[in-house]
Amino acid sequence: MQATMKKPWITPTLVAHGGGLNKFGATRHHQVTERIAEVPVADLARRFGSPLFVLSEARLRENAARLKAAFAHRWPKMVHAWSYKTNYLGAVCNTLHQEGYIAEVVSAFEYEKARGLGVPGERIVFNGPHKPRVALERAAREGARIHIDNLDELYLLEEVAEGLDMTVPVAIRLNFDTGFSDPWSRFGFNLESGQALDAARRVADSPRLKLTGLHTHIGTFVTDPRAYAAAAGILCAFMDTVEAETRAVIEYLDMGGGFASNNALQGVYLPPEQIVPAPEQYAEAICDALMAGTRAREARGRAKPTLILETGRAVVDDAEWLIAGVVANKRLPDGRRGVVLDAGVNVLFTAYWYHHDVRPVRWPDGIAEETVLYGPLCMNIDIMRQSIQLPPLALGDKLVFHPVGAYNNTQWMQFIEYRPAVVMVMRDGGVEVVREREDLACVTRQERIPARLAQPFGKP
Amino acid sequence: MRTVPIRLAAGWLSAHAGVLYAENRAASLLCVAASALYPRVLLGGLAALLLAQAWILALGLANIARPGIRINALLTGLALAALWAPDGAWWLIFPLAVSLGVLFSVTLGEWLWRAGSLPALSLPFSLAVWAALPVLGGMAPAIPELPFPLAADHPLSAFLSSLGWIFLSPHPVSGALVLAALLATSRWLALLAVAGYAVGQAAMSVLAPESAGPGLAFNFPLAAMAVGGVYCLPGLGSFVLGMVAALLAALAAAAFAQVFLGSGAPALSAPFVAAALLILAVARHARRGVTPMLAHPALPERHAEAARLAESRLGAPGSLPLAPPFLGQWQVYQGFDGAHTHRGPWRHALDFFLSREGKSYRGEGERLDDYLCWGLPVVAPIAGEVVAVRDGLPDNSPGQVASRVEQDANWGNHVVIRAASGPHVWLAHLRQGSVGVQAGAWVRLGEVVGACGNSGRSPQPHLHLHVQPGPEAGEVSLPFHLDNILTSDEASGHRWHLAHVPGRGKSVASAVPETALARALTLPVGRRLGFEVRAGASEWRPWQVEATLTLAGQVRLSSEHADIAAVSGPHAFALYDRRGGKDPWLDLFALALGLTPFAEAAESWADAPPARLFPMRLPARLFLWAFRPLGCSLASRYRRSRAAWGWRQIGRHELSLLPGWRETLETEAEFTPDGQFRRLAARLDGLTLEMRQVFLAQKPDEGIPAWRVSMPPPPVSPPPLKGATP
Repeated sequence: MQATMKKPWITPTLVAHGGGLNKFGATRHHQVTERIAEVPVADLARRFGSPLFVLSEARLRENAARLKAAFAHRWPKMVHAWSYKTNYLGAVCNTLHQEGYIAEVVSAFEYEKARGLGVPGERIVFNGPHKPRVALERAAREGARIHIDNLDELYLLEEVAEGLDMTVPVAIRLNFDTGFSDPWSRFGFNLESGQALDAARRVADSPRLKLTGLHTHIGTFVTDPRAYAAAAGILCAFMDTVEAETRAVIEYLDMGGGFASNNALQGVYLPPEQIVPAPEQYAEAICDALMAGTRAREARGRAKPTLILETGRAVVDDAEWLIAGVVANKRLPDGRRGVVLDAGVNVLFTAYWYHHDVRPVRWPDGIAEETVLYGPLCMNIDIMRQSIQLPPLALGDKLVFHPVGAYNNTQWMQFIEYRPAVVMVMRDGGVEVVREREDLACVTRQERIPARLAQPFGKP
Repeated sequence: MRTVPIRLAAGWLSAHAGVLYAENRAASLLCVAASALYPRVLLGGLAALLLAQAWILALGLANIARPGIRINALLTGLALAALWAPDGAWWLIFPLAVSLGVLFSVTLGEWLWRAGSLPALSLPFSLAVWAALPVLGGMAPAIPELPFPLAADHPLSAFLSSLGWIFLSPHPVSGALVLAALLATSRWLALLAVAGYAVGQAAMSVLAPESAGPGLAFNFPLAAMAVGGVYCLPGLGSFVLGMVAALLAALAAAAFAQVFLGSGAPALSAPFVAAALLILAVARHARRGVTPMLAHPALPERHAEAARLAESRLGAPGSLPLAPPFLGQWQVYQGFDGAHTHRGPWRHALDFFLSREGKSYRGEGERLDDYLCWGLPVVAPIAGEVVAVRDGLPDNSPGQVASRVEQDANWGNHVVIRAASGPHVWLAHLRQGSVGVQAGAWVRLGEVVGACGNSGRSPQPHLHLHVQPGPEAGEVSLPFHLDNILTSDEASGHRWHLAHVPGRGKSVASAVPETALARALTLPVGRRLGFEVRAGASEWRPWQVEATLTLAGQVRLSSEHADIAAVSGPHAFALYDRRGGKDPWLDLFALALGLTPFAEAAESWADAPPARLFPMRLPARLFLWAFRPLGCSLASRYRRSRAAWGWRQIGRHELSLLPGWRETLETEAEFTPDGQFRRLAARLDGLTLEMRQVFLAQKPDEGIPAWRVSMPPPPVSPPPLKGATP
């Protein structure tokens, strides 16, 4: 009989979680951003100051090319337009133009900006609810694709065409319910109520306008490709109706944009890598629906329409980073740590919508604890992240926010602070300033001080 | 409007040249001069032509075989005048025999064409003269002996006399004039004539030495020329066949001489006709070695030029043009004569897939949907009927290949499309359950038929394409090429090809035509383009071309002295077959715009226009005249860029004469979306030829009024191109 062995004592240990994927997505603790596009963050901050926006030319081109290929492999006639409002820095626009994207603008200013960069009129899509007469005149003369948003604009454009003694090819913007996304009924003509068909008839009857395109934009950050498939089907059906009821021949369908980027929308439970579709998934949904929706029309002898896309966010968002520096630490009354950064919602407008991925340049010593990230503004609303697990940070430590390419360099504001510089890491590894840090002169350039107010002190 | 006598004279001249297949005026005059040595022969020919013209007018035979009628009538007239002295009956027989020549021409021409697409050649002439033989009696050589410094049996005078015999003028001087006419027309024909004579005469000296003489020997060069240069594509094969024809003509001549020995019946051109028709009838069935051109007889130089251009622009003869069977840009995984499976009888096949930076998948590549091309639409590369479909085979896991169960499982799921011209196009390794067409369906070009998969003998998702004669799996593959594609690499950007078989690793995409480019380069019939032109710093002079429609439906751009065929679309604007006199501006137009694709993305491409468009200096011209009797092509490379006002296209044309001897010319073309050719220019040796369009006009037609739009010339020195304008 064998004696029962006493089990040896094993000292209890704590084993660090090895990372990898859990049910909430990839673990984000202990992740650092040492380099942006192979350039050390510390070097960038040292050379160009903090805060600093950093773009990657390579990533931008890669995103643009991947989206283009995804659609080119599924639809034979594609035009990609760069949505200026997403990021209209000249360097960004021209990188994308070089990748074969035309310009999509939504205001007289953006139209001028595109023309100023050297984009010819016929390579501009002119959208938006406010197109002043002068802008419409120029766009019509220069052959831009004008997409009509409302009846008043339709009447105005007719007058413009009359004045120029020309026939203007146009598209009308439509809104409808896809069943998979919230309808955006404030833009364009509503389809379900019959407004859209009325507008199409009105254009078809006009001696000065020629209906050649249909445009829709179903929403923003749409993460369900089925919404696009439904929209493509609805557009095709409407194209058939319009062609049957008027003499119009539709040459192109513009599906707008709204593809999601790899960013964490506030209030969304799952992380972006689990809910954001790849470009190929959007492409498959749209193009399969278009193939099905145009088959009968093609059998009637009509060529496939050109598909226009105006993707913004999905192209540029993850091609830009924001480097911000720690300027102060504090302990809040509820015990949480507060960190004040040199960049706030004045430059990172999208902090209102997203939980950006925030990473230190190197993992500091110490225990991670719940931290609030504040911006530099003397305003209560200036919160960059309400809650994030971070170890203690020293003054001057840098945090990197990502992705920040979409809607920040256009919606940022000069408020309390100057807007920081934007640099681009070029494909060859060099770094170029693509927008200088603002200074007093830029802010006061437009100001005019009446003579009586010329001196701050003393009587006038 | 040309007067009747002038038209008759022109017809008379062209009939003389037509005997030698020539067209130009100098050759015509030399041929007339050849028969003018014996004025009676010349007059006989003239009378015969007038009679033939009367037949043509009286019966309205205008468009049917007119050259053949005139040539055979001319020869009949020449023969009757040369071989018999005009006595009482002759005056009645002459018009009857010439009329027979006309009637035989019309009927035999049609019958032989229907019987086997064969030409009547000068058979009607021989028949007409033989028909008159019994009444005319034995030949009484009716033309005087003219002196010549060489003895009649000297090889040179024998050769020249035999050439003179072609125009029934058996004198070395006549023959020399005929040889000069040949040299002025086609050095290749002259070469065939000399070689054909030598070969035929050598055979004759063995077969029937006693009958050898110029009266039979003229058949040998004619047979060699007809087979080796006019009715077949010139080349080594047709040259050898031409010599065979000369040998057969010698055999026929010897046989004729034996059979009719003593009867006095002349063989005339019967040996040539018999030999040439036999060889041409066989050549029609040849699959290699020789390419008969029975429907389009022409001078060998023209044949050669058209064939060179066709090969460069339209691919190898017999190769089936296909559009890429996919959308967007793919890469070639295995090309023709590939390392894996495209071998032996299956060597004409292409495999396509997608790869980025050397990898065909994202992630780990363990799942099929990691692969970049997996599930992408596969489209019909040609319109046709779907004759076979397979859709149920499972897709292999990456790296695995299904064990072979039956013969056509090799190709996995597939769609077979029978093209209208007969061959069957296979698209294979499709994804299980993806095939969206059924056997019996008709598909349009570009219609989606399935999705890229990994079924059959396929270790990773890819698309296989080949062409074969029938629908059964495993048949021998036929040559094909891709039509209107862009290939790309880092160095040359997007290179456009009208016909190309891409090799392994090449990126290939269909070239989508741009409407604005197509609009700018479409010239409707009756459109007139007005230019100002100048050489160097001289004054601007006016010059214009007009798009005219020929009876055969060809659009030609005609200037005052010359013209060139033009075709617009669907993929490109192309110019070819320049004819007429000297016009350096038309040559410049043809070089600067010769082949211009409608795909906006096309950044560079190549073409092979004929060297005669090149403004050559004398040494180069002499060299080509002497050593390249069939002409040659230029190696032209074009680059195009977009500017704010339109397109600028630079052409670099290289003429390689000898190793180390190269002439180059740079042309420049700028045109706008409105269709204005703002500037065309060529620089050669410091001299700049420049053209700029100043008006666009339309010729009136019934119910279509004329119009004309002035186009202000652009600034003299164009603004520099913007590098990165989108």
